[in-house]
Amino acid sequence: MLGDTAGRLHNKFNLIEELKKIYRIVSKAQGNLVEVLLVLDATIGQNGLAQAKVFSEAVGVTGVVLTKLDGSAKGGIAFSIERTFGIPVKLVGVGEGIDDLIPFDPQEYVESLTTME
Amino acid sequence: MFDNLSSRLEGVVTKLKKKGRLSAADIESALREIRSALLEADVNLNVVRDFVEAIRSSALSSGASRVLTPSQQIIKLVSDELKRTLGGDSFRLNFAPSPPTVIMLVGLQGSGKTTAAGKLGLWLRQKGRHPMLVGADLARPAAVEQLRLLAESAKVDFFSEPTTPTQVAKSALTRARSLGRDVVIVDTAGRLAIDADLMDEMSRIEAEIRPDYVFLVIDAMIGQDALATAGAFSQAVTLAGTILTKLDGDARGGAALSVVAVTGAKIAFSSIGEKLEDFDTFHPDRMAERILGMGDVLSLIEKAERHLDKDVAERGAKKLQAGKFDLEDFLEQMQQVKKMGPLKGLISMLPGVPKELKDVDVDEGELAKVEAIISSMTRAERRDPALIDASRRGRIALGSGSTPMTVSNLLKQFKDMQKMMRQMGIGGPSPTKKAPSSRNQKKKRARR
Repeated sequence: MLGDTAGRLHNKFNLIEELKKIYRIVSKAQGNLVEVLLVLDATIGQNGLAQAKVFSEAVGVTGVVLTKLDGSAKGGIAFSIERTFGIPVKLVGVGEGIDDLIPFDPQEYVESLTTME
Repeated sequence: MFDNLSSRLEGVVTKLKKKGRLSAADIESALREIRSALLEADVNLNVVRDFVEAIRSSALSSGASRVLTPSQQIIKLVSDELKRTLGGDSFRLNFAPSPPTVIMLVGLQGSGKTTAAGKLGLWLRQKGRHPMLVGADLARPAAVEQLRLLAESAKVDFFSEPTTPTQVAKSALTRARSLGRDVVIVDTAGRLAIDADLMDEMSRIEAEIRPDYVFLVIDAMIGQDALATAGAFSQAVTLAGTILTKLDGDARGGAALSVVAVTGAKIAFSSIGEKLEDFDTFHPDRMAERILGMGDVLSLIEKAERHLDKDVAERGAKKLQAGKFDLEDFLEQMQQVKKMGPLKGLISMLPGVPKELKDVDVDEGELAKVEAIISSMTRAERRDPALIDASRRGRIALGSGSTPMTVSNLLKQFKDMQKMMRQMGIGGPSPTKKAPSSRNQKKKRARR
């Protein structure tokens, strides 16, 4: 089962509380909660770090989905997030098509960074 | 909003406050702090360099001021430079001499174009215009539906058709003319700056409908890529300005500074919340003051003017002066303040409020409780709280879903407040004819 939640700013206390409640309910339900994915836009700046902090403290984020990597932004904040919180990038979005969400390949990602110019 | 930038700068200034004079070394250390604060705030490196250079040269040339203390001097320099970088004067929307005025919104996916379109629609309607929202985002599932719903709650017209974005925009103009609508807001699909096809499509729409204003919608949390994006968009279309969204987050929004500096497109509007009315003209001067922690009193006053009923406020003030301010007035005034929006937002606008206080989560529920308690009282009780005995207190507690304890706490607080006001000389010489009698009554009841 895949649950999609409403977008929320991480500094809205009540909305984060709501998310925690969703998390608690899902954890208690039948079956196992295997992944909590934080979806970040590749254009995001330093604020991505603040978001990763709040969301992971609230609901134990297990991985990041980096979207819009097909644009000019490269989502470099993913490095900081991995380093500071140990949350890896798991999936990346590389286009508008339904099949453009693919597993993250670190090697390919680094190559795309270094061959830019 | 810009929280960390402002607190960093506050740090710099406190260090300088201790000094009587500003030395070259002081200026350098202040500049270093400013530089790293700006970089951490996602401001583009080149923009930071120019910014710091400008401050350095004016700081060195201005020399010691006789009027300002060193810290005030630095604040003034930074504030002036921020204002300049943010685009100087506030943006003014000029309406086309022959209506409709056409506004086109462009930007990356997920930057908030559709919501901004709805908010702009409401803002214009409140200014007495008759806008029409046009859904030309045919790519994102339900984008048109979202805009239709937004138009409905903003009570403005809406148009879309399942053809092509260009065709939708063209038909919308014809439609707006025939209906006599004076502003047309075209919401376009989100696109990446490097998607040549979609960027072309955007230029074609622009060529076709010749908008008076093309606004680039930018998410406040965008990073260094803001520059590339803004650059590409400003090459494809003629940008009249930008709309900065999600400013209610804690992103420092430094990218906004870069965008203005590089494209020359001013920030025209900003969006500061999820509600339709959380949207207004962007004021560089006020923003600069806000960044520097000088508060945003002007916005607060404007907000008060927009939401407060002058008669009610005056009535309250008169009663206060006369020492006749009772719980009924209190309730009325409280409801007024509530209209201005969440208390947290109001507090953040006040100057001199320490950062700790700004971060405190004001419990809006507490206010609701107070309101419930007062609403559960009879008129007579509100006018003369001394009437409230144990039995009445129980009834009020029951009616408001609270406990007799909370009710008496509230009453005590109100009494203390009245006493304090009397001590401050508000409400005239304290024992008016009425007050002592009600106090005596209370004593009698207590003795019983």
